[in-house]
Amino acid sequence: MATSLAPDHDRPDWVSRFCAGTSRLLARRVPSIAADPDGPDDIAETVEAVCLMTARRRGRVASIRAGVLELANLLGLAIRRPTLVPTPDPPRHRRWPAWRLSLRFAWKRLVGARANAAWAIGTLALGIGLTTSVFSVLDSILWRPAPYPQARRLGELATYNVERKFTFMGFYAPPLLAAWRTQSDLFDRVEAFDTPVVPFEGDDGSETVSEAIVTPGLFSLLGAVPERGRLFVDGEGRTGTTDAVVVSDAFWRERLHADPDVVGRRLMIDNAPCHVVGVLPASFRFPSGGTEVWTPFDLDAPPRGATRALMPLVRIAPGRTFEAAAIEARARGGRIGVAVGEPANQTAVLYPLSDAVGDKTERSLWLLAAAVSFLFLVVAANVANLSLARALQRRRDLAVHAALGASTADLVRAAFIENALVAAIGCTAGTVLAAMLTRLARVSLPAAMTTAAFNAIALNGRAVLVAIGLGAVSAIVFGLPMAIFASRTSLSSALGAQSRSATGSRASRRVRSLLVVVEVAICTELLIGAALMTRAFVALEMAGKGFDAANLITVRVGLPASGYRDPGARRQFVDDVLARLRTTPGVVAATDGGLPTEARPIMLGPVTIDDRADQPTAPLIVPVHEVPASYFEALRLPLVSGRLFGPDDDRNTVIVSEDFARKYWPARSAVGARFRGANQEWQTIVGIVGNIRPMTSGGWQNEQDLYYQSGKAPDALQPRMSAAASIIDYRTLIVRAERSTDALTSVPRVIHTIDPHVVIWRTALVDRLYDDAIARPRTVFLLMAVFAGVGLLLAVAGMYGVLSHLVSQRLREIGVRFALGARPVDVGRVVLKSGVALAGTGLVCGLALSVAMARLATTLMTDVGKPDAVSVAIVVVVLGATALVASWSPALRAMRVDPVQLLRDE
Amino acid sequence: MTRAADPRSFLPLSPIAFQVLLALTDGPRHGYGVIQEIDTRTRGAMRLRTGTLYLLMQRLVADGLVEPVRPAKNVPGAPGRTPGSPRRYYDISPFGRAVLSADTRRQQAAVADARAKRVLGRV
Repeated sequence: MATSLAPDHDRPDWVSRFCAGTSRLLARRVPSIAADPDGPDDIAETVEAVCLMTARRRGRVASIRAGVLELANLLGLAIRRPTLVPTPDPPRHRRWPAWRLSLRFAWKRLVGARANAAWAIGTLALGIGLTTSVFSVLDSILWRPAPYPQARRLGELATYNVERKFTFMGFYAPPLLAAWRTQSDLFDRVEAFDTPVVPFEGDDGSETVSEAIVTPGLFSLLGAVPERGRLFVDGEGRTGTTDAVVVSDAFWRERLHADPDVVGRRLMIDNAPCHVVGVLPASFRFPSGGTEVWTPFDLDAPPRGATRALMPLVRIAPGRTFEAAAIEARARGGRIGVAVGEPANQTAVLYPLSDAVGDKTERSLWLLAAAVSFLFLVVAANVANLSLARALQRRRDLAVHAALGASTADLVRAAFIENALVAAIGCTAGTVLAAMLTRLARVSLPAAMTTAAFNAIALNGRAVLVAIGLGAVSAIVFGLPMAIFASRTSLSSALGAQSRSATGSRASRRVRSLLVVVEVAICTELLIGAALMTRAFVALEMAGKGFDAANLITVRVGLPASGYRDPGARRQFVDDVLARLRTTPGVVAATDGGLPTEARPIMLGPVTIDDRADQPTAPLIVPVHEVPASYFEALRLPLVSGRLFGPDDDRNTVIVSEDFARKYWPARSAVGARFRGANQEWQTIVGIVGNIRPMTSGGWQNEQDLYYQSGKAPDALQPRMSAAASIIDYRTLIVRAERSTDALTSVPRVIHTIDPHVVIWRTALVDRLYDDAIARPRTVFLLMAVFAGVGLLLAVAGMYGVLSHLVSQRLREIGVRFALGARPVDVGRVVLKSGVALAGTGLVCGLALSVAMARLATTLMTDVGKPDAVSVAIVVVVLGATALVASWSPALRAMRVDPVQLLRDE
Repeated sequence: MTRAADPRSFLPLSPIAFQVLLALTDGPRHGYGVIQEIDTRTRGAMRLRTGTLYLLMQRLVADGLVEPVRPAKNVPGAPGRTPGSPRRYYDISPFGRAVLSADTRRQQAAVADARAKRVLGRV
């Protein structure tokens, strides 16, 4: 039975009842309606309501007309019998999940703007690669805890002289170490090591290796696991059990040619036979990354005749903090030392193990970290700029999307996915680049920066996380706002009024200009840093050495205790070698006496000058050289005044450097003058020679050197080797050759013909030694230059992009200017001005920034000095030139605009 | 709804479907309520016939743009089924709403283009 939808007072009349009944019958003839059990009744109710309401509003006739039309509609359906046809399935790609669809569109858009996308991805990869690899290096050397179990509880004990207030590392005698072992409530483990360099008889004669003498328990304390064989066991390192040796992975590969049967192989190390018991993996870097062999030393029962001073490595007992243990160690140190016969004025100080990396290395690394962070900001600004440019290029595309029903959220999501895609690809490429750069850093960073670190330089999970984080930051923080901005402006220009000078484009140009200003400002920082480094480094490279280092080689030889205990024998050996060398073809001069910069500084105490005997100087520590007369000639170290040594000179005859003479005898010639240190006789100056620049310093400081004749130097210069040492003395020979490369091989051969048992310690070109000594500043300089160069390139690219955009935006205006009689040069000048304005604003902001950050710069760049007018001038010139380069092509394009053609195109 | 999640795959909507979805944006309506709302809003310019509406509703339901609502206690605004009340109400689904707004934007953009070309004269 049909029910009525009409209000009660509208009783169904015959029209509505008839139409309802007929419509029900007709609806049953329409298959799709009949398929629904309620369908015909629903139709009948609705038709009845239509008739009733029409009757009420417009009268009976209208109601009949409406009813007829309803029935006619249903009759038509009953005749046509339409079946339910849902909207056909969308094309296959449209059935993908929304994110996949968006990803596909994003990819298509990137392919469409492939030049921009490739540049963005490349820039990002470079930025992420450089930043991640620098992070990796910093993390490996400075931040990552030492790779040992409970590394934070490990420490090194040093000695503190309470009276004279100085600390020195090492020099713990076995009884003192044994006494510390009894303090188990403070340290649950006390192990020790020493790091001598000892001779090793390899296939190519005697060489030297870096040895670590360790207590057997040291390996277990550090959780070392051998790669092959075994490590030391308790009881090894006593008399009769000292012949075991563990070798490093590098030693095994390079010196033992990766011998698979290395365990049990016999070697001659430190002139004693021993056998290899195990090989440590490459990741084990204790005491340093350069250690090649480890031999055992038992504290409780040291081998007979071994007087050894060691460096203690302790582990703090559970339940104590490091700080509390340090205080306790200092409190107990004096008492423990006195009990075993140590001086009463000493105590112990505890340092964490992680403090092994030098200050200079740490500062250099932080400088690089700061520089690479700046570079990443430039990269990020560039990526943001490119993201905006890409979005602006696609304005029409975005407008079409909007026209097809895309909302702002849709456009922003699409833009985000596009930026995320760029970031993901950039991030992946950046990680690969970082892995390569990290590997490069491992082999090319100077050993001075890396050997002290306990962790090998490697790209680990933390670094990969950093790379991903950088990618995410660049996509979300820098890319997305630009995308939103562009979507908004595109949408408003698509949906709003179409004006040629739409606010959107002007605003976007402003944002892009702002980004370029940021890039230039940060780049200014990098350039100032690079300019300072370059100047400091060039000064370092160009600074003369004071002597002629060309074709000069140096050979350091170790004289074994057997045969050279007598000083006369040592002198005789050196004389024999020099005599033989001087007759060797290709050798110009040969002498001994050490490298000029390797002199041992000795304490002279307060020095009394002859004519001012009542005014002794402050205590002096000066480098003292023991050299033959031939030394000065061989080095071509100029004699400024006076004479060189003669055979009749006594022990109190001295030659001094120019600086020494000038400082203490400013008013008169120092030749013939006398001085004496504390506990010294009067020393007579017979000659003055030129100054020699120290290897590691960039400039000339106060170079005060004293030269004594061989065999007549003060006692303090005589070597103090322990009776147990297998090498009793070291001598350095200096040879000037016609061809230094030939001499590098011939000189050691000549030495070994005199005595095959002496150890050739080091053969090197003097020039190369100077180069190596400045490896750290050179590396920092090179990296700074690379960072600044990359930053500059990016800033130029950004500037070029903005100016090109500017020209394309203002084509019509340019056309009008031409039409009004402007000359091309006027138009070009407008574009160039814009470029220079961008660079100028960036430069000013950058200089302001550098003033604000002067303190940070001063802390990090102590080696190179403060920014000065010259550095700033260099930066201004470089930036000005690059601004011109970046503006040139857009300016040229503007100058070549043809107004007639432009109007025709319009 | 087993359809793709992209509302734009349903665009453009037919004028009738657009009007029906628009009628449902205020809340659930029965068939006559939809016819009445369209009639009033378009001032009689668009008058739907019951059979046409019924078939269109079937398609919109099948496409997931509209959900049939059985009058029950848990349907806000829909009275319980009592003698004299309709059997079935229709409500726009969230997806239907997304399709409707996408089509509105499409038309908005088209109008903006037409306006820019001064189709409507100087406005």
